[in-house]
Amino acid sequence: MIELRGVSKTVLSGSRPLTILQPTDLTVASGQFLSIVGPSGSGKSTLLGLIAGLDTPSSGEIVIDGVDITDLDEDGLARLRGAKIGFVFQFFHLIPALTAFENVLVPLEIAGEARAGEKAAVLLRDVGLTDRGHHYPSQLSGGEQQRIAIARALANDPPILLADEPTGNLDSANGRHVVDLLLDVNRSRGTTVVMVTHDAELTARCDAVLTMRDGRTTAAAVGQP
Amino acid sequence: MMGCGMQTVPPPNGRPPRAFIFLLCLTLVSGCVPAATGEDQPAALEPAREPARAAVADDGLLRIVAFGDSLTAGLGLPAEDAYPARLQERLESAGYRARVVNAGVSGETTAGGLRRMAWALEGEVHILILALGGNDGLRGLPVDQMQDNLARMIAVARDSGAQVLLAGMEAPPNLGADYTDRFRGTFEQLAAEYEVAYLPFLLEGVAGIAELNQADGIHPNAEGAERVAAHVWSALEPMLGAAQGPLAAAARPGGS
Amino acid sequence: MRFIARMAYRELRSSWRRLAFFFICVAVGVAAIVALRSLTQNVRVALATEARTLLAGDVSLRTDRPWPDAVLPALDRRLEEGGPAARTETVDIVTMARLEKSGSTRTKVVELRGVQTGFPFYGRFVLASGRSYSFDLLRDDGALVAPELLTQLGLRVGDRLLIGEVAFEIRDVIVTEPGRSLGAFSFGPRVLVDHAAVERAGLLTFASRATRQILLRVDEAAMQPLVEQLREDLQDTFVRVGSYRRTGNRIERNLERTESYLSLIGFVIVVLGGIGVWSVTRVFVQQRLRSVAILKCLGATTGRVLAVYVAQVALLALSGSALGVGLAMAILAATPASLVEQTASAVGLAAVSTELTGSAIVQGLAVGALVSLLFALVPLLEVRRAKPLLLLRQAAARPASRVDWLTVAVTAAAAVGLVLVAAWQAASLEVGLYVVAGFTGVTMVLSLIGRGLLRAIAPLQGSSWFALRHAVLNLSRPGNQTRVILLAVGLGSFFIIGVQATQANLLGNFALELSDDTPDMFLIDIQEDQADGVRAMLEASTGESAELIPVLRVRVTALDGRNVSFDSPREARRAGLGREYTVTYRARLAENEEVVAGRFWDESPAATPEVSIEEDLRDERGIDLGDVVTFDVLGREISARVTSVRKVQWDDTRSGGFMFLFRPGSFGGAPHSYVAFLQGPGEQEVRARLQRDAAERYPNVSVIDGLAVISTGRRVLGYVTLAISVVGAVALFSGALILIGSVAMTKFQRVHDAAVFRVLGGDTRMLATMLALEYGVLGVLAGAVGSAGALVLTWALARHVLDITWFPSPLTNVLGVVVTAAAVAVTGVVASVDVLRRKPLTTLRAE
Repeated sequence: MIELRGVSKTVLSGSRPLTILQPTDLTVASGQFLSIVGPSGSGKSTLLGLIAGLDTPSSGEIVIDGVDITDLDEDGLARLRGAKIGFVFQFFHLIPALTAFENVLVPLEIAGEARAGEKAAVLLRDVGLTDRGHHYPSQLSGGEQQRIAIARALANDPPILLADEPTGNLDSANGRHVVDLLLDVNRSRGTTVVMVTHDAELTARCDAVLTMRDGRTTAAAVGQP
Repeated sequence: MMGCGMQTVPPPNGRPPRAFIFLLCLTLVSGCVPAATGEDQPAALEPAREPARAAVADDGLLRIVAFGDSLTAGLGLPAEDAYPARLQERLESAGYRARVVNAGVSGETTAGGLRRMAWALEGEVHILILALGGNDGLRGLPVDQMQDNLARMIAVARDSGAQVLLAGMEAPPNLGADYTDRFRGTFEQLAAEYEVAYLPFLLEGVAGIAELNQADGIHPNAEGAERVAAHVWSALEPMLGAAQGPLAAAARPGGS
Repeated sequence: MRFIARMAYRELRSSWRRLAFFFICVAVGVAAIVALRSLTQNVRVALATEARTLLAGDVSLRTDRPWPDAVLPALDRRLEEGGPAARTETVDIVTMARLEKSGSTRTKVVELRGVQTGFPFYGRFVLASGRSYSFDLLRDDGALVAPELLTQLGLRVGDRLLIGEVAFEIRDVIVTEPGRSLGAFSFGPRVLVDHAAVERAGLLTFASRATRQILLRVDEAAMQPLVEQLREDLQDTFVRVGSYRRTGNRIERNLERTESYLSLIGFVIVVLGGIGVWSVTRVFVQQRLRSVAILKCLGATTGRVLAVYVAQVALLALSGSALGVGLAMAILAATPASLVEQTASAVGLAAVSTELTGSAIVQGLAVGALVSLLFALVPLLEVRRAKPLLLLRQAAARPASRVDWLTVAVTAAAAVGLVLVAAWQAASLEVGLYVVAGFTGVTMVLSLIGRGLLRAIAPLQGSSWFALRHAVLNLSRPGNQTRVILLAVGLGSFFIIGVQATQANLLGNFALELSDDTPDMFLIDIQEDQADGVRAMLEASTGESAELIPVLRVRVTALDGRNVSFDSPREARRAGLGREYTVTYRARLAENEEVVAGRFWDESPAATPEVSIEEDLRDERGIDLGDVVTFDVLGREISARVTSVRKVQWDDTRSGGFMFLFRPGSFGGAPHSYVAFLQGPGEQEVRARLQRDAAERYPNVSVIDGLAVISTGRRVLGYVTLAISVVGAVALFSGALILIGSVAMTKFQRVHDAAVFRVLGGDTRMLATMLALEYGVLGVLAGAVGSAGALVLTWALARHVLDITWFPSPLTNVLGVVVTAAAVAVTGVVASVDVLRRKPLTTLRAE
């Protein structure tokens, strides 16, 4: 489902090049739940951003669901994300101007989904927030916002779900609830999930764990598919 | 134009308004010899019994003063095209050693002319060509007043020893026959009364002919001025021919 | 499509409060444009009415000679081609009127006009009896006369007046008459008679001085082509073809200036509104970058996201424009309609409607939407740069600022669009180009200044005064507002100060031309021995001291100069000095003169002749200080040394002007006459009596009356002045509103910083001082640049478009800078009051 070959990322820090991701090979099979752990600045989020096509690699190539995204332009990447990738952020990143329901609706509408409204309602129900649909993000708690974000990420039923420290801004109860949701998605829909996290407890529930340090992958523990 | 007519040039970036041109024709400059022109000078009005003979100046030049208004000044023409300059040339080519002074002032009426007569006559003047009245006519000024002014001017000139050639004027017909008739009669009457040389109409054969006038229809163009000079010459020459003594000597230099 | 529409709707639903300012900018701009357009249209109609009344027709053919043979057939032919037209003929002559009583020699020069049945096509006569004018009053040797004629000749209505061979019966007295532009100045009272009677009176013979005129009434659309064709047909004749639009008089010229000015204002307000739109769109887009990134992350392409925001802007622009039209209706309803009505009724036309026309509404909507989009487009392009990566890394490094060709292209397209809108709105490409050039110039200067400012104030970052240090830091921090505020405020003050200064210039010129003390009576040919008597007579009549100006006519015959020398009249002509000059002498400078070189003499008479020249003689003819000019004065030569150079304000009609001015005593005893310019008695009766007395006591003195022309001009300029002031106030008000709003909008980017300072212990006073310093510096700079630009703009407009004398108005400029700086500083602080008051955490959380 996800394949990285020799992918690296170098940025300019001041006038000196700084490699934040050393050349990395990685393959994530369809239906796998992979978590990436490591300290701050180890390159976790960079790796995730590259997979999502939010960032372009300095070298190497990335294949998503059989599509080489390395050479796609900005709009091509956007379409690919719309169809194949859902993304959950640490800071939720709901559109503040829209209600919860509408936030879920947006990706469906972008994709031109005919029955967007019905689908969004189902998704809201799935994350248990049907009665909060007409609230704006600022009126929701962090946990609720993140559940809405997950519903939004799942709207177009993507084969891949990427999550960047989804529990990092939540208390432990809410965090657990969110991880439960993600696991449930992985199990029931067969969605491939890649999650960046600090939480060691969470990694235990994953199929595989990738540990990073200083821009390198140091260990990959692969569990049951 | 609604401003005053005193602007001697139009504003640098404007163009001369029409009324400005009109005022140019009429704007007055005239002389004044306060002591000599008071109301109490009847003596000057008396016709002289004997016409004065022109005398010759020390330099032997025959001095002629062309006294008049814009028609004499040559409004709209370069100075050398105005009729006095043309006349000067005629005199010279006829062999006379003469100097014609252009004492024309645009816009001048007989009232103004009377007051500057003394200034123009200062020094030795042998012949005075008096061609005023046109502006009096254009402005419809009272005819009797014009007559009075002209009479005094003739008297002053003769007192100074100059011969006078009176050029007549016509008032425009739009003022009505009553006025124009009286206007015309004035010059005839004066010429007869003072027995001066007389040219019935200065612009004879020029006035009213478009080709000989400038666009304003009043002032002769160069060709028109030449005609005026010829016309004046026809009356001036006999005066020279009739001259005796020193004048004749001056007139025919080299004694040939 | 559905996505775009829905997103646009949802965004607007929540952000309309912040976009309200956008809305207001558009509404104010459009309201101003629409109201202005209606006003301008009305003023134009009124002015056209006035101009038509001055001519009494649309087109006039005029000649001082009999009609050439070619004219009438050519006219018939053209009129046949040109569609429906009415024509009538007039003849004007100056003639002599006298009493019928036998033996009376009392005469009076009058301006006789013969008219036919059709006269006048425009305007109407007002008669003393109150009855309305009809041609029947002139039939069978009837005459209508100006009131002063009755006074001067001691006549009454019903008496007979002899003109030429005809005895006319005076049937009524003319109070107001149309078609007065002919022969502007009055050389005598008006007498109106039947055209045919003029001929019968024997006044139209060979060499008569008569002005013949054919007046036409034609369709507006057909007029210009007809005029041009006739001009071509008659170019070799002495016939002048004119239209009410081009009568060539000064009133006409001033009306043109006014129209140019009004067009300019319309355009400036559009641009001001555009600046507001630009500023608010910019802030709006900054605030929406995260949402844009999210949308992109969710699969929306850049094009679709852009479409979402363009749709919002378009919607706002349209509804703002609609509100603007509504506002305009309210403004117009509140405007004193009498402004235009009064004028219209004064000249005998129905009142002009002050209602909005359909075309004005459509135009307002179109211009509002178009300009909003043009100004919003460039900031909206920022949307393209919003990368979804922003969501992962807070300080997503922007790509190095390469030249963004699309932005450049869109900017260029917007500029072209702006010029087109300008050409459409201002109806003058020239005005549009000057303003757009000024716009570009000021923008560039402001950009440079912005950059220079940051460099210049860098040392202040080490200041120990906290507020100052942080104000400086704020100005130069990444993503600062320096450039934006400089641009918005600089451009805004540029236009506002420019408009105010131009207005001051225009009104100043009008005031000079038609101030209350503009002379309306002229006496010429006053002889020296009559001067005291005339002066006494004038003073007795007007109650004010009268100044008589000596005049002489001279020619230049020789010049012994530094640059140019010659010694014959022929060479003088070649040097451009060949004509007769009217000159004067006096010991003091007139009000409209100033010495620009050399020293003006004192009161003592000249020992040797001295002359002061107008600066044109120096600049154009090469005469210089110290040169000796020889003049032919009445046949004698006088040589005078040039001791000073003067500049004459020619438009100031109160004092006239002379190219050569002599020191008293320079002429020796050269005789000369005097002229007098004065304000004649206001009362018609007294005025007529003065004219009669003058004619009786000093028959050679001609009194020329300019009152009719001047009062017409004064009336026109009166309401033009009012219109300009009203319009200028609208521009000032709407411009200030937009500018203050633009500045206030920048607070949204200060909110975060302010909150952080609060957290760190900054008190309100310190924060306010910091903001005041920061905004104040920007205000001073922007105001100064705008003010300087306005100076140049005003000069260029005065010189090249309005054709008026330019004078700087330092007060407007200095005041402009001060007010701008103060307004920006106050706005900056006041706009942030809520931030200062709010609990810092609330602000931070909302972020």
